[in-house]
Amino acid sequence: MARSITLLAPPTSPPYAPLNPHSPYPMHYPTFVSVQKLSTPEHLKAFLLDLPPSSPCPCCPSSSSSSSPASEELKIYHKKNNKSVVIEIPHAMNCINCKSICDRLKEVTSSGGFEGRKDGSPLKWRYLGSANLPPPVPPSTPPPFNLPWPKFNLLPKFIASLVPTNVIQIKGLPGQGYNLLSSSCDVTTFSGELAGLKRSLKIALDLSFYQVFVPQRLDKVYLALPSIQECERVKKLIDEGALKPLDNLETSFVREREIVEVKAMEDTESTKDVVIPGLTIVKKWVEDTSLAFNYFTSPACTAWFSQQRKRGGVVSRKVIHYGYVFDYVANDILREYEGGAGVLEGLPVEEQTPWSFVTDKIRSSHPDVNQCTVNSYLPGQGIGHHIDATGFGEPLISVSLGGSIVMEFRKGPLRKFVFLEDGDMMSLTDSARWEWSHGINSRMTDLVNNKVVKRERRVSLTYRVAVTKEKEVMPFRPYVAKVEDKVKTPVVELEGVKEFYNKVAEQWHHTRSKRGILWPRCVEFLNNLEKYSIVADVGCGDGKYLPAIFKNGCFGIGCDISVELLKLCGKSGGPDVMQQEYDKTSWAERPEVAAADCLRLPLRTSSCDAAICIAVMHHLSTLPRRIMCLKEILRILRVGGKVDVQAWALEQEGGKRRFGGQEVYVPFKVQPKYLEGKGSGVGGEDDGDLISFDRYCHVYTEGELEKVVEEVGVVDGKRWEIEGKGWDAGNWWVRIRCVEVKKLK
Amino acid sequence: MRLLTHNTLQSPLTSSYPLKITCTALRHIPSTPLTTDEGPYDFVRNLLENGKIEWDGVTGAREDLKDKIEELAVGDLQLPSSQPSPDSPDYTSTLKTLHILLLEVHVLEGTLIDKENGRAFKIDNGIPNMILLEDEIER
Repeated sequence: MARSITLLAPPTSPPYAPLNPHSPYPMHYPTFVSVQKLSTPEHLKAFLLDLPPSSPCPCCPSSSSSSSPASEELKIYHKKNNKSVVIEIPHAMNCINCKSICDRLKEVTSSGGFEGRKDGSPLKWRYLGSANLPPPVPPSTPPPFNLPWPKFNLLPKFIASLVPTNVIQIKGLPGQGYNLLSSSCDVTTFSGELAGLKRSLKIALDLSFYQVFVPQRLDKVYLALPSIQECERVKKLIDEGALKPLDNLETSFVREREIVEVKAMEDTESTKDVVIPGLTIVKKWVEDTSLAFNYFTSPACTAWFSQQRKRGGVVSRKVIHYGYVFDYVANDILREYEGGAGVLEGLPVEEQTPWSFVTDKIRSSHPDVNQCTVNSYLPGQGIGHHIDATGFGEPLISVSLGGSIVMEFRKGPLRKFVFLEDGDMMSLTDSARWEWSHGINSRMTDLVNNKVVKRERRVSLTYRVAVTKEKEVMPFRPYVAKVEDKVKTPVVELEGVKEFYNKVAEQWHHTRSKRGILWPRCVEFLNNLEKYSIVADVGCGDGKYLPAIFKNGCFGIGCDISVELLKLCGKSGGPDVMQQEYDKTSWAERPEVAAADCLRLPLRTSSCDAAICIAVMHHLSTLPRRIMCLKEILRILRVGGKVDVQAWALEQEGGKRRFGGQEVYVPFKVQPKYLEGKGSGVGGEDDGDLISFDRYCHVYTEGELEKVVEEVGVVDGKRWEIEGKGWDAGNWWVRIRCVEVKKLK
Repeated sequence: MRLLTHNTLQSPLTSSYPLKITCTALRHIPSTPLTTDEGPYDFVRNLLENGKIEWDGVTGAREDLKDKIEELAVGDLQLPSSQPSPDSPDYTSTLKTLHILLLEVHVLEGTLIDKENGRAFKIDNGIPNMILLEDEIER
């Protein structure tokens, strides 16, 4: 069948109304979508004509679309010289039960490169609504939504036929035993408690479009939502208690993350009489967990493994393996270490780490223990049900640090819930270890003794005995304390500094450089430089200090770790203070910058007359790294050269504390428009329309910066001399000068 | 990337200097000399006379780029093989050449190569990327 596309001028008033959430046939009307930023509508027309034809719609009796050419008629409304169009898609092409043309087109164009778009980006479709026609007379055979709910094991197939909707399933609601589906009603009519639930769903969860399905099993409800993002949003809201007083609802994703299952949580009380042989719990076995907990939760803890692969994806919780590394794909320990996931660490004992006192306590009664896996659980994270691999013997001992959690044990139809709190120890042997599986549900709350307990961050230390295939205990691997690694970049800096700036570069540029926000003390330093100096801006970002350097008759070279920020250096595009400065000095074309690590500056020894290092020192996570940065600057500076160093202070204005401690993550909020193509946030969360990213900082206390300078010592016969220091507007600063080390006669 | 910057860059891996340049896109952007108080081209003159320019680096760069320089039509930018003294006869014309070569010629696309181990650092849109890979970091 041939497809025809007509280009029309837009009608005077919109021919569509927002999607009607109460209509059982929302998508059976002509649907309107808009596409923006096109080069010409002709491109789009040509593209649509080229697409394969859509499949016929089985539930629209009027559209025997296989024979009717009119069913493939698309209308495109556009205004002359306007870059956006509105497409009217007839119902036959957009029925809820067939793959809609929009979804297919989304699929086809989502890999990018549609040439009809001004900037080459993928097509963006935005649903506008459906035509405000009167509701159709329901067909004599009810649509599939009203079919009797199939048996449980047929559920996945039924849901598959509901493509492309995404569904939330709500289970275990109060007042079980109600029957809300009478044979004559459709799914939009409810009675009793479920009607109230439906109202509160709409209001509390701010649902503009949803459909509710009630199976005859009576303890659950399905919500159909337009997108996976909506599903996630609603799940999050329910987890956080948006449906009060129904706090004990449990949500989880079912079937390829397109369906969220919401059911009532079971109270730990309900299984208190279940006994599992081999399960021992000792409450408050560790009196004070703070040393251990703080060690693992410090932002500068560098021991975490990079994400390990597991079957079907990656392990999302942070883990560390001590003694022997566990491989989630092979489901066994790595017997021959091949330089795989993470760094192999022995198992620390005695004074080797702040937390090894726990290991000592365990090994005093279980000397075979030779392996420990540390797991970090953020609220909402869990671990799937499993029985520990045969690569481990028994016992399996878990020590809980920090937040409390409910662990579930299962064996066939039997269940037991265990509530673990800070300091509790749980030991598994015999049946508990080999026959019962255990797991932690991925959710934000637990139900304990009829109270809803919110989850907090938890770190668990799981001690195990690694054994050979013949069940012999494997040798104990001793821990060798590492000299604090100043060489490889710590993960906290890779994620919290480099990746952070690469993602937020545009917004950063707009909120700082474009408005000419410069540290006055630094500008004063640059204004007092001698003409014809070569000046290094270490950590130059988007180069906002370079114009001041050039203005003073000097040559500036900027270095930064973020390639994205460097690209914005001197960027033309609109009136901004920095651009004007560049234009004035005639260095407008291409300021001099290079991407480099401040610990490995690509500059010749003693080649620079001056340097600035602004807001860089607080991004280095260890003392050796801070020293190395200042050592590098000393190396590149000639004798007599001066440097201005500035870094965030713990002590803020008027004695007010802005930071909880010296190691902090400081959020930076970005408008979504600056994030196109940049992926999701680093620790990002939504804040209304803004997306929040965290950057890692080590903020300095009084005198700390000078101490780092003093630790630098001698480099190439030169050393630092402090010429001035102070506190200014929330920053500690030092002015240092490179002096020659006098040789002793 | 201007050649004055190249003159200051060394390999972050081996400290080798100068870096060899290969270039696929070169551009000439005229720029007004920064100040004219003391005489023509006094910016490069001061840098030269105060020993801030490595002469081998300049001649090396010119040699690496000579094919591309021909295409720019700014002359062949020949330089003496060693740093000239201020009283040499062609000093002013050498300064002019230096000014063009160091400040007005831009390497837009290409690579900087560490002569000791052949490691190439890419230059993208005039910005050289000298960040080492985590595996390369030793010291």
